[in-house]
Amino acid sequence: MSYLIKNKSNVSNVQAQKASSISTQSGTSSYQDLDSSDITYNCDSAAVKVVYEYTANFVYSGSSGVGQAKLVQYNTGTSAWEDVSSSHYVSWGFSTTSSNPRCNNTFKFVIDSWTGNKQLKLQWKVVSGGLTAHSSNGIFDLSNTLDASYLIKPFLVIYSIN
Amino acid sequence: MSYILDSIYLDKSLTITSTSDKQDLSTSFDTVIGSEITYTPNNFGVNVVYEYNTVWSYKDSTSKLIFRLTEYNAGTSSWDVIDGSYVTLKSLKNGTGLINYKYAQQKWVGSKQLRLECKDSTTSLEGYLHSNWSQDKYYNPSVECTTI
Repeated sequence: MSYLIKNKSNVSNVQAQKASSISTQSGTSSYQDLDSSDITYNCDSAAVKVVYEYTANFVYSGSSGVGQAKLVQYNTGTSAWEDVSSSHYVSWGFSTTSSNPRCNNTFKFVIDSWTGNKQLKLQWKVVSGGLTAHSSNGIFDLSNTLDASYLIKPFLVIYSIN
Repeated sequence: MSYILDSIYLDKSLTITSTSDKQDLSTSFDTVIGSEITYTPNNFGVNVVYEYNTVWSYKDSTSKLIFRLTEYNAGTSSWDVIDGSYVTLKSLKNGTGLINYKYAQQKWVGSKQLRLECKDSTTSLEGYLHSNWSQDKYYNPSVECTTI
């Protein structure tokens, strides 16, 4: 048996997951998990960094909305979820009345590699106004008919960089 | 039996920069923190993709931020603007959001230094980089180059 390695890539152990069935998630002032963001990942043995990329859609539920998300990891020692770090927070949206934010975000976080399994997930909350996750605010299908309840499935991609 | 292991993503180089404060922009172009990278493409590739990630937040209720990608010119010891690299971010409503800018270029030979530059459009259209909406959390920006 022989192997020809034509090109060398330093991206490895790529994993992806997508929601099979979802409902909208209404944002509140408390953190909640984002659908399909929870994963248990084992780095490539040669990994230096790990890239966590989660994509989801958000639509206003009032007339404005600002969301904030953070990456958290499960601490098996304390059996509790904890922030990966204070630098793993992001926010999006508009806070002025009648701003009606709608956006599709890819949240990208780069973290140091680890040994063994680690469980990661993304949590979010609303810090101003109102937002709904996974809603599309309506789409027009190929026959130009409005589908006001169309949902956009979130997905996660995670990989190691060696 | 033989296998050909092929990938179109080669020699991904990625750098994270720790931040503990927001970057307050001015009306003159300045280097975007964490955007500079020195990269040598893989011999097998055709193009190089430069990617930069961070977050931004409003300073004025309306923000208009202008970005451009530059490369270091060793002959003139200056940074040259790469044609077609200007991007404008504009928000009318006390906005905040994610920045994910990607630029594809033809592969070059040897190493090259690249960096993003940014400015406020005017003194009444200002914004911050690397900060969340409430300006109490600061994102560590990442820059990467990949040969494809």
